[in-house]
Order: sequence, then structure tokens, then C-alpha cells
Amino acid sequence: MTREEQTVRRQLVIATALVLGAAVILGACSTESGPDLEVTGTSVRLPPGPNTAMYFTVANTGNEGDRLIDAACTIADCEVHESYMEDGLMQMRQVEGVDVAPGDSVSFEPGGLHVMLIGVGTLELGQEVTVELIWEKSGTMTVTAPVESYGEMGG
Amino acid sequence: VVSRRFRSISALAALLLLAAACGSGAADDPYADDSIYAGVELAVPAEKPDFVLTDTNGDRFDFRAETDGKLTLLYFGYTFCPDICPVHLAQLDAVFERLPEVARNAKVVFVTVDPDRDTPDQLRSWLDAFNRDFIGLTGTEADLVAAQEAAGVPIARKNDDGPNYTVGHAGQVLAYAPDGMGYTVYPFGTRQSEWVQDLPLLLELTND
Repeated sequence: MTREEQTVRRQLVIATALVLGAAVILGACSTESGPDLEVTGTSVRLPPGPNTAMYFTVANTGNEGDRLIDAACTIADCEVHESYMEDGLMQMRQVEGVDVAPGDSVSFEPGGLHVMLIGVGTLELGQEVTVELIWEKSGTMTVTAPVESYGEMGG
Repeated sequence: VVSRRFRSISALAALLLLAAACGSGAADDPYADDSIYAGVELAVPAEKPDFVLTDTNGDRFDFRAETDGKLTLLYFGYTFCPDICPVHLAQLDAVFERLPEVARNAKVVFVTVDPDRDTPDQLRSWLDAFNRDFIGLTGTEADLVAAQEAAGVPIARKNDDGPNYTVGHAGQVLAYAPDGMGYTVYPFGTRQSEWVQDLPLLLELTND
């Protein structure tokens, strides 16, 4: 092997190493970047009337935020709603989106955010309801929620 | 030296002003301090409102006469409400189960603020999902406004015209002791333990 060949060979080795290294780093990025959402504590309340609400908590353990932009289910019209106080009146409105920052967790709970199930019909205690949560980045996430009675705010 | 003393006097004056301002602010606070109640105690007790509406049987319901001598819990809401109203009612039912003595001597009166959709039948079946003894009232738009005015709550407001419109409404339960006076109100977020603390106390306030 001439000196020239050795140089070319060494350059090839270095280039390969660089490419492999870059691939490893890129690979690491693609698995670790982005939102990583976990939904817990899902609960659909036994509807006393035509409508009811689903409550849950969503935690984002990823390194990017995400935004809940809609909800869907087959048993009713689903909308993301929030209750809020205005001029002494308890109000409710559809929300455009709910941001969940990286490392953050957001509670959908009575008196605040909820997925409203409109025109839900008859449900039974213990029944499982399937709801799709639609996220800006994570796409559609299917969750199930047991039907539970209204009632305790805790304590 | 003079200017330093002047500065410290000014600072003292500012502090005194601030304290005075805070003092007058506290005097305007409608809620009493050091309350024995877990609910929000009114600084000035409110008289039980005087209004007449229609119950779910279609009968005339004179609120004062029908609830006379009873611990009375009054709430304005609507049955299409998925979040606030059902939580209040479910909690009251749960608390009544824990306090049978209170349950026997109390009336829960739910007045709809959505008379178009809340027919008497709709009201009845919705209330039955919580407790068959809960009373549902409706009336004309004008009668319902009069009832809210009498009770001193902000008047409910329909928000849009679609089929699934929402209605903004007072979120608090108004409580009246058997003596006919309101001492406390219970905003949304009141816990069962707080109801359990207050209702027996209120039940003792009679005219006897």
C-alpha cells in the first residue's frame, strides 16, 4: 500500500465514522424529540340528561409541547370545553386548543376543562366509553373512560 | 439630614395611607371573617326570596310558603349543563345520604334558567337521576328573571342561538336556614366535607 493509498484509506475510515456518528446522533434525536403524552384518570360521568363530560389528566414527558385541538367519539358529538366565571356567571365555551407544555400536566376537571359529550344517550355505570383526543403534533390518541357517577369533588 | 428625615416621614405616611386603604377595602368586603361556616358567610344575612313559579307537576309553587321552616338550598341552572350543575346536585344527594336528619328537614330547589329546553318532564327526569325529592321549578322568562332578582344572583344569559347553546348562570347554591334567613352561599368547588360541616349548623337556626 502506497502512502497515498493509506491516506485515502484513512480518510475513508474517518468519513465513515463521521457518517455513522451523525446517524447515531440523528437517530437519538428522532426518538427523543417531540411531545410524549400520557393520559390518566379518565372518567365519563353518568349523564343525568342529554349531555355529559369526560375528565382526565394529561402529562407531557416529552421535550416539545403539544396542543389538544379536538375530540371525537362515536356515541355523541364531542367538543373540548371549559367552564369559567365571568361577571358572576358560570359560563361554558368551546376552546380552540389546550396547550400542554413539555414537562407539564393539565387537569380536565369539574369547573374547568372537560370534553363535553353532547347528545350522549343512555350510558350505564361501569361502561367503557372510547374517545379520540386529537393533538396538533401527536395526532389522534384513543382513550377509554369508565362511566362513573357525578359527585365527589374530593374530600 | 433634613432630606433623609423627610424621606422617612414620607415613607411612613405612605405606609399609613396604604394601611388606611386596606382597612377601608376590608370594610367593603361583603363576607364576614372568622366564620364558623365552611361556606361563604354573608356579612348581612339575606331574607329568603319571595317568588312564585311552577313545579314539575305543573302546580303553582310559592317558594317562601312551600319551604317554610325547612333548611332550603336554592340553585339556578339548566339540565343541558354537563359540568357545574350536575356536580352540585350529585354532591347534595351524597351529603343527604350521610346526614339523614338534614335530609328529612331540607328541601333542594332547582330553578331552570333554560325554560325552552327544560320542559317539566325533562327537569323531572334529570333531577330524578340525583334524588327524587329534589324540586324542579320553571316559569315564564319574566318570572324566572324575577326569581333571580329576588334571590340576588346575577341574571342568567343565553349565549348563542345554535341547538346546543349554553347558558351562563349563577354557580353558587344559596342556603336558607329554617328561620327563613340566608347566612351562607356555596360557590362551585364546595366539597362534601364542607356541606357536612355546615348543614347541621344551619338546621339549628330556627324561629322556635
